Amino acid sequence: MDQGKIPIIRMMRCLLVSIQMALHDELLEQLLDDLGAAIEEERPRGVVIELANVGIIDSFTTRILNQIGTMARLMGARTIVAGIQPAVAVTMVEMGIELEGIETVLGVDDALELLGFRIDDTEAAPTFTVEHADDEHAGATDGQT
Amino acid sequence: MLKLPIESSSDLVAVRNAVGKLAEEIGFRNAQQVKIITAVSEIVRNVLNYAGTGGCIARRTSRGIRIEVWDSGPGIPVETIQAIETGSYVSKTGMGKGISGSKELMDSLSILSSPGNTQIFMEMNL
Ligand SMILES: Nc1ncnc2c1ncn2[C@@H]1O[C@H](COP(=O)(O)OP(=O)(O)O)[C@@H](O)[C@H]1O
Ligand SMILES: [Mg+2]
Repeated sequence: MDQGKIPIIRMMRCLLVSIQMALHDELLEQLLDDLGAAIEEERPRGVVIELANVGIIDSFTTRILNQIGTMARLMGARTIVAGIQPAVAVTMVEMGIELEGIETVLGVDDALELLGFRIDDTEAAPTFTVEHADDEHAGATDGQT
Repeated sequence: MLKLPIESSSDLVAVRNAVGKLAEEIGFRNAQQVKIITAVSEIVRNVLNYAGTGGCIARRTSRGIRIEVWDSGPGIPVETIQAIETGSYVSKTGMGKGISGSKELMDSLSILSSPGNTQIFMEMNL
């Protein structure tokens, strides 16, 4: 199928995915595979998946997200889903389908904060730090790999 | 009235989009539109997974929307329908929430199924 790919951004030992296209089943299956490979290569602290522009999450989508969460956990990374639309969340609850083993937050900022990123913008020039608490790969976040 | 084929997984996206647009034109609020397209997505995916091909008709009714999805596949076994109705269905292939969840989302969902002929009717009122 020729509908492109969901891009994975590799940044600060995180994998960032933002879904901005209609979710074909093949795209999601491809994302699962691609994330598996990317987690193996990057050993990220977390995988962040932003769904603010996704207008429908059905049981297939949920199952793939749960598979991503399980796979990432087995490989030592957290999965955080950000920005599920309220109407989509209500629909999932009514159907009785749940994200399991995945943390959910409102925005990507919150996701990055959960992963230990801190932005202090109270100063004129904002500072940016990364906490290393309980992160087994923490050593590499400050430059050495 | 919309009449759409269900032949490949790109039809699944086409059906969702078209039914979503119709629901919006009929005047359903966003939250209801999401429920309608989610239910349609579940039922249409079942056609692709378990029957191969089929079709979908969506139309405006005096009270809202009516959607029919059909296929000529093996049919849904009676035991499966009963298990879904009592909430005890355990799926080998999915989360097992497609039909039961869609029933929750819509105002009504009924199944007519025998080998070679499965029809699912769903309605949502404004
Ligand atoms: N159109 C269909 N033709 C034949 N069997 C079907 C059809 N739709 C659903 N089924 C059967 O009913 C079961 C329940 O469907 P569903 O509630 O969507 O759960 P899931 O697809 O996750 O298993 C399926 O596992 C399948 O065995
Ligand atoms: Mg199903």
